[in-house]
Parts: sequence; C-alpha cells; structure tokens
Amino acid sequence: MEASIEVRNVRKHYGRAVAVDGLSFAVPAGQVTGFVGPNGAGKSTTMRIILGLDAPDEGDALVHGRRYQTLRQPLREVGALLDASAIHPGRPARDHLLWMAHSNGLPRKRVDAVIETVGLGKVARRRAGGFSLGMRQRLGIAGALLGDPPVLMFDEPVNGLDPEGVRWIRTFLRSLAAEGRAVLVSSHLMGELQDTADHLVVIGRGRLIADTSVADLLSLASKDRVSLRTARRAEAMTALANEGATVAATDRDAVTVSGLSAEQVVAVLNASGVAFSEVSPHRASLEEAYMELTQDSVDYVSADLGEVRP
Amino acid sequence: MSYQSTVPAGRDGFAQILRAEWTKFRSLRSTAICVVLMIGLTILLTLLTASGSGTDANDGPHYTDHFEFVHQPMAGDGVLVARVSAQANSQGWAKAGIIIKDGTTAGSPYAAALVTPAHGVRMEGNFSTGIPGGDGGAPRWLKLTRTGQTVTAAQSADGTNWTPIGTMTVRLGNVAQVGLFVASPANTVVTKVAGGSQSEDVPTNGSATFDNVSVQPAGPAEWRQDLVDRDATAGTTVQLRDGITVQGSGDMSGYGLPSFHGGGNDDIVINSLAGVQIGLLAVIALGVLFASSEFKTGLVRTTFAASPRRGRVFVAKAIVLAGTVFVAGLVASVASFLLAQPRLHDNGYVPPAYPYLSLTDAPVARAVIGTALFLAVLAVLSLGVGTILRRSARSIMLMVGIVLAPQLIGEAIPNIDVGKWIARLTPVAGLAIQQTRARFDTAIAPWPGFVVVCAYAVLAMVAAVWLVRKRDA
Repeated sequence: MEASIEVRNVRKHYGRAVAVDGLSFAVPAGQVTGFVGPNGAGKSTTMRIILGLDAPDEGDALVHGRRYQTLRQPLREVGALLDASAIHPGRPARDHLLWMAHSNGLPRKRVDAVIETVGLGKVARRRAGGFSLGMRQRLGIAGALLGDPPVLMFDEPVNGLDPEGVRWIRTFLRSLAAEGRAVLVSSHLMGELQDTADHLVVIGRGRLIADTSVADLLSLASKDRVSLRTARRAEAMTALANEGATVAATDRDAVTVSGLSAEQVVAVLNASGVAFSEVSPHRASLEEAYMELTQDSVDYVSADLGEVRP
Repeated sequence: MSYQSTVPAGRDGFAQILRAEWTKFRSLRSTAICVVLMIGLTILLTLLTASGSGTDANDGPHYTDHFEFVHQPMAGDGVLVARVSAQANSQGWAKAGIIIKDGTTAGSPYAAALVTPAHGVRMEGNFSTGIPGGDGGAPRWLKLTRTGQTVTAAQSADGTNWTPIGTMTVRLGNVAQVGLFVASPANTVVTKVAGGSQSEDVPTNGSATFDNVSVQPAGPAEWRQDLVDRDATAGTTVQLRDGITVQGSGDMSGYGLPSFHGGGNDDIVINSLAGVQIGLLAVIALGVLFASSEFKTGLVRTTFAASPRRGRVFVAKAIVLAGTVFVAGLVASVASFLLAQPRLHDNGYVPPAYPYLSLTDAPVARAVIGTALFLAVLAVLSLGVGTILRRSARSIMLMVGIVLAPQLIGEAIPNIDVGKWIARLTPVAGLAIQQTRARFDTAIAPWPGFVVVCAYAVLAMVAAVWLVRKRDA
C-alpha cells in the first residue's frame, strides 16, 4: 500500500546551516507516527517541506504519491497544525476557519462542526488574539480537521495545553488513527508520545536516527539491565562497579545496572552485606531510549547522566 | 484501511480563493477602521480646504479690451475687406484682422475676423463668442459684412473664393468704427520662490502687415489709429496704404474665449477633492497591512497550505482590495465634491469666472470617478510593496515617502521643471486624473498620469507574485 506521507532523501539548508540532511521516512495510514528529535533537529522544516511551504534543495516529499503543490483541494487531503500562533490576532476564530473553508470550497457547516469537535463553541466569535496558547492549539487543530483529511500533521500539539487538554489530545490522536488516518505528531519530548505513538521517526541534526516501532525501541533500550532499589546506594554502586558492572544512579535510592544479570547483582550485594528492597529487570522509559539514541546528535548536552565506571 | 474524506469535493477555482480573501479582509476590524478613516479624512480635509479658500476672480471686469485699432466710421450696413499679408508669431494667441466695433471705448460690442499664429482663422465677438474658421494664418483675406445688428465673417486665400466663418448679432449703433487691429496677449511666466511659485504676466508685442483694405460704401479718406483701452487715449491720424504695419499688444477677450486670461485660474474640481491627499494615507495603510500582516503573524503558511497556488492568492487579494477601495473611494470623492460646492460658492467661486459644476459634467465625472480609481490602484501598489518588503512599518514609510516626495522635493529645489518631472514620474502622477484645467504648474495630463500609477502597481504586483512563488513561506 502506498504510504500516506513519503519523505525521500530530503535536504534543506538555510544560509550555511543544514536543517535537514538526506532524510527519508514514510508515514503509514492507521497509525500515530511520532516525529521526535531535539529542538533544532529539523522536524518543523521537514513538515513545512511536506506542506510545500519550503522548497527542498534535494529530494521530495509526497502526500499520497503527489507533491503538495499539485493538490487542488489540499485541506481535504492533509490537515496540519504547524504553528498555533500563525493566525491574525484581530480576526474572530470562526472567520479564520471560514476563510479556510471558502478557499477549498468546503461547506460552511464544516466550520461549525470542527468548532464543536475541538470545544471552542463558546468563544468562536471572539478575536483569536485574546486566546490562550491552549485555545490557539485547539483552533489550529480545528483548521487541520476542516477538510476531514486522511492525513494529519501536528507540530508540538501539546505545547501550552493544560493536563486535561493533554489527555484530550492524546485520546483524540488515537481516535484519528483508529479511523484509518495517518497521523504525524512531532515532539521534542519523547515522554509525551509514550502512550500515543505506534511508530517513531527519530531525527537529530537533520538526519534519521531511528525509524522503529515503539515496542522495538523500548525492548532495545531495556536490554540486559537491572533496576535496583536500596537505601545504601553509594555502597551498592561501589560494590557492583568493582565486579565490572556499569552503574547509573537514577534516584536517591535507585540504581540501574548493566553488565550483570539480576542473579549476579543479588549475589554481589549479599556478599558485600548491602541490604536492598528490590531487584528487577529494567523497563526502560521511552525517554531513556530516546536519550540513548540522541546523545550524539544533540547540539548541547545540559547535564551528564551520572554514570560511574570502574 | 485508508481513510477517505467525508466532506464532499467542492469547487476549487479562482472564485473560491477570491471568496476566502474577501472573508479575511472583511473580518478584520482594521479594515473597517482604515475605510472609515479614509472617507472621513477625505471629506473633512476637503471641507477645511474649501472653507479656507477664496477668489476675487469675479471682482474685476469680465473681459479684456486692449488693442491697436486703425479705423474710420461706417454708417449703417456695409462691407469691410482686407488682407493680412503677414503676422509676427509674438504669441500663439496673437490676433490680427479686421473688426467692426461700436466705438473705440473699451468694452463696447464688436465682431472681428482674425488670424492667429497657432490657432487658425477665427471669428470672435462680444468678448464671449468664438467661431473657428479653419487652420492656417497669414496671408489671408478677411471680410466682415454688416446687415443691421448682424455681422457675417468670411475668409479667403485669394480674395476671390470666399468661405463663410460665421454670423453673430452685435449691438451696434448706426455709426460703427471699422478697420484693422493687432493684439498680442501677455505670456504667463512662472518663477519658483521660497515655499511655492508665482506667475507673472509678461507683455508681448504683436505686429502684422495689411493690404487690399476696402470699405463699402466708401468712407472718409482719413483713417485714425487709437489704442483701445480702459484709459482712452487721443489717437493720431494715419495714412492708410498697402503694406501698412500695425503693432500692438493686449487682447480682446472674455469668459468663453480660449485666449482669455481671467483671474479665475483655480481648478475647483481639484479643490473639491483636496482631502484625498490625506485620505490616501489610510489607503496605503490598508493595502500594506493586508499583505504584511500575513507575513508578520505567520498566517501566510496557513494561507499557502490551503491554497498552494500562491500567485492566485495575491492576485485575489489585489482584486478584493481594489474593489473595496474603489467603492469607498467613490463614496469619499462624491461626498467631498458635493459638500465642497456650497462652500466654494460662498467663497466667491461662482460664474462667470467659475461656472457651476455638476457631477454629470464629463470632466467632473472623470475626476470624481478617477479619484476612486486612483485610490484603488494606489492600494494595489501598497499591497505589492507590503508583499515585497513583508514588514508593515518600512512598507508604509516607503509608500508615504513616495507620495510626499513630489511636494517635499518641489519645496527644496527651486526649479519648476524638476518639480514637474518628479510629479510625472512618481505614483502621485495618478492624481492628475483630477485636473479639469490646464495650469502653469500642470505636470502631466489626466489619463497619462493615471497610466503612470497603474504602471507602478503592475510592476509591484509582478515582483510580489514572483517573490511569493520563489520564497519559502
């Protein structure tokens, strides 16, 4: 089956800075695809290229096998929220959606429908300039949904949303994918996508780092690691390191150990007389997996991970 | 399990983009503010200008009567013939010919057949009526025939084959003065002075040579030469002979005759639309903001995602903007014109120096509708500039600079030709569409001026469309 979005060897530079460097990936229908990378990794640039807003230096981005510029009623094919602030602050929300509908010959009743969907019914006639960031996100999502498109792209959609809004959008993205649509969601925080995405495209410095399912990535990151909980953390870390393990403190009383099996960890701790409350196979968070993947590609590392090596 | 949009496919033509841009335009409060401001400022400033204006054009005599007259009396009906063998080109409207006049007092009724260096053969009379009698000038045979109060003029190249010019009624006493005359109107010379310009009349001296003079029935052998003027002078006796040269300056003219230098030289149609000079600032803001706000807010990305054919979007913007500004501009110009008329009348702008004007007069209609057209084109130019520069402040500054430049530079450089060239080459040349009177400071004719501003707008839009298609959004 043809991919909903296909990015093929796209390269784009601005001045001397290379924003996207030979990036290729595909977004299938019926899934939420997370598009992850640190700030400045090239996520927004890639999305602008998919929408035909920026022209790639090389390669191309296709929607259902066609370049975006050739779509005649693009809102019926692709819905996108790139920048929630990209609205005229003086224009009432409803009029913002109305001109979008007119431009693609969409019926006026779609405007009222999407306003209801995103829950802006009460404020639709107010000027968008007075909206909170969360309300603007909802307005942007309403615009993306206007043409009821089979492909949706959201750039950092949970930014500025309150916890209730975050939960709403996660459920919403899942339901869009469940209807058979292709959903591409970007984020610079992997954790945001933990319960939402089925598939991940990870990029750093404009290059593809990983193109994998969430389940595969988690098992890769969890491999051969043991979580240890103990009140005597320092002693435990010293003892384990002396036995050749790589030890990382993850909390005041928690340590992650690699290089030793759970049985070996228990044996070493018993031999050293260090008491512990729990030893279990490590279940990596998506955040950890992501950190491992992108360590080499972030431009500035803010803090080390506190690893102790023998 | 690919999803299909449940929204029915509608039309995707230019009309949809036009409708979208109209929705954008009308849904902003700033649009309404600019439109109201434009209409309000235009009317207000026009009224202020009209109230502060004034003229004394009607205070002076409504005619000029100053010329050199070689004459003798003729009682009752008769015929006067003479040939102007040569005329000096002292001024385009210099006049030489034959005349029948009710005495030598300035202002008395007359009829004349005459030649001019630049405006052909004519019959003129009573300071008000002129009848063209064909191209060409001296040498020319001229004939006047009096029958009661009716005078008929004719001209001939050879003195044999006569072509009638016209007939007019002249209130003549039984004895009228008939003879030869020469006049040559003053030239208006304009000099730049600090803060403006002043015009000055410099007299010219006309000269013409006559022969084949005949009067039927024959009059006295003696001819007299007088300077016809408000201050009567004692004339002299002259010997009439073939080849007599008569020299003179001045004019016999009045309202209705093209050579007349009346005191009323103001273009009151322009004065009735003066507020547009300020109202156009609101139009510039409107046009610039319609483009620059797209870029400032990032809205342009939503716009181009919805309508990837970018050129069409900006053409649609231009049409929506021009249409709106034209309608609002028409409201402003019609209201300004109608409201200014009573004030101008109160301030002395009345016939004969200033005939009453109506919206249905062709030049007035052209000026009033043309003002709205000019504003619409200026708005499109502003849209183009706003698109090219993408910033509101610098675009508005640039446009205001372009509009004010002719006045500012005109003030700074004391040379009227420099001022005229700037007025011809900048977009404000389009305001020439308001002219209904050729004046000494006229830079460019109405329609050519309008073409200049249109050319600027087209260039700006071509550049704007090219740039939005080429640039990343």
